Amino acid sequence: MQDDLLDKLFREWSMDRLPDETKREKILRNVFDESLTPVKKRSRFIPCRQRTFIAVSAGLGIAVATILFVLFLQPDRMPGVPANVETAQNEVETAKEPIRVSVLVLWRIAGSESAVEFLEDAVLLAEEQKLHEIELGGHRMFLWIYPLEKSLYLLDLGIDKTAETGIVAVPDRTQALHLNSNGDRFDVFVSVM
Amino acid sequence: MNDDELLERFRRSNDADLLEELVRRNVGPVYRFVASMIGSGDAVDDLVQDVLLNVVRNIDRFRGESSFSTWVYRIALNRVRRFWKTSKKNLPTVDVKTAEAIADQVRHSSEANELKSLIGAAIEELSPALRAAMLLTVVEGLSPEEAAKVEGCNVANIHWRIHKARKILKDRLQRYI
Repeated sequence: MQDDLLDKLFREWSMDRLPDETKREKILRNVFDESLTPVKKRSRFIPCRQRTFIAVSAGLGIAVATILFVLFLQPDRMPGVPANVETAQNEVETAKEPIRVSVLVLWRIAGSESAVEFLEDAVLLAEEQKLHEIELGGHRMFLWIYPLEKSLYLLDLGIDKTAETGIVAVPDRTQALHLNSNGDRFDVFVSVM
Repeated sequence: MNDDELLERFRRSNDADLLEELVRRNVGPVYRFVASMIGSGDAVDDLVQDVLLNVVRNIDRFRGESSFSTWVYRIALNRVRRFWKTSKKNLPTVDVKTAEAIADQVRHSSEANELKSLIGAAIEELSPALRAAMLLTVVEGLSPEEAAKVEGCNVANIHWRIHKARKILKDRLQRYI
């Protein structure tokens, strides 16, 4: 099927969702009637007892979050997760077999938003099946992803931000990134080319 | 006169009729976009009203860094996302249904509506991001650059999402068309 035909069908499907004239007018009237009504401002007054409760809750929340972060979320404290790019690079260089590295490395370098964008860009590159050099967070990286279906799945994981594994940081050396199917989940392996 | 020129005239004259005309032009497209994203129902009317109300109330804040329609669609998309978050309603992912399930669905519809039902069922399988990319570019006529501004992502992502959406739709429909 051609893209043109597909787009036409999509367009027709969406056009069926246009409102009729009566509905348009009703919405328009409601919008302008409402826009002339001053927006009610919420009272900023908070009773003293509530203020104490909020302050204590916030304090406890921050304390618990700090403890959790220190204990569990720091990548260098998690078993099997390299603390930084250098560690990841060392592991890659010294490994005799392909090794699994967590996406947290990339997350740590670039931040979650950049990591998601990185994943999406990576899929575009994967379609072309080219080795590609990128720069992320000040690090030069080399990327090789295949096959497309697996990287598409990986992208979905990246968007949901629920992935335990994903794209890995491959700093400043020509290294390959292999995706390997393991049942329903995909692990990321890095190996030296 | 396009929307941006109309807006400019409204800003110069502060004529309420010009603002109404600007909003009137966008009722249809915004409604179509919201309804295509969340499906039909009473919620669509409320959401569209909310979007346009936001446009009217915040029109002074629009700095013209993008086109007017890009700004309106961005408000609409944010409102749709907030709706999903608060109502815990989310669209099924592409893995949930199979082509057989869609075929089963259309068997119950009349022949005249069969194709439409089939297309509708296939489109409803698209994830929100893929559907939004298709709607903004193919239906609403935004450029990939403008769609990227609406979605808050880079242009490459929009190209990829359109590519993936088309691939999914083709997979679902090619057996029947």
